[in-house]
Amino acid sequence: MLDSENSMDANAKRYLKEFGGSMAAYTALVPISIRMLRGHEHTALGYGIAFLPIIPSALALWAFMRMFRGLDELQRRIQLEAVAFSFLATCLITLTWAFQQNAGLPRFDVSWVAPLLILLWGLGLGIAKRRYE
Amino acid sequence: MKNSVRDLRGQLSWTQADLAEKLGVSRQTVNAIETEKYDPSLPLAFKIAKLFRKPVEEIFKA
Repeated sequence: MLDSENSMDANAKRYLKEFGGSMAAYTALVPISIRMLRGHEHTALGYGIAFLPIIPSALALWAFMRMFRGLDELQRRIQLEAVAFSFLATCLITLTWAFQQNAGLPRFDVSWVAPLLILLWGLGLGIAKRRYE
Repeated sequence: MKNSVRDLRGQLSWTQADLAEKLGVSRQTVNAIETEKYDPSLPLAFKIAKLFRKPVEEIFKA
């Protein structure tokens, strides 16, 4: 018989390890790539250097998908509800901001989209989890 | 949907964690099923029925 709690704990532990490692690499690579980029703007090397932080980000995505596939059906539903909430709320916020730019708000920096998605995903998880408690 | 999972589990003196382990799901999922906050998928409902040796329609009622 499958020891589900242990396998789920193992899934969560593996995710924390893989995601944490990816984020540590990301945190280290951002300042390195910014420093290395100086003097190489608009060159092929420059685009390559600017791409460096994306590699650990892609690893984090892979870690999340591995974790997601290890969840049971209710946990998957909770994650999907949270992702749907995050996606739609981000659409609403960025669209609102876009219209407000016409009224004078400063331009929205696209680099804020990912943190906004992650923040709203966390909020969505809290809301979805409460529904099934 | 109404169900008798909690009663059936109680008759066997299993904890939610015991049942979760036997079903291959988390304890939170067992709790959500028992409190009728979540209706399981058909494969999971059949797994529950098989485990308790009862017809699925006897455990889950609309």
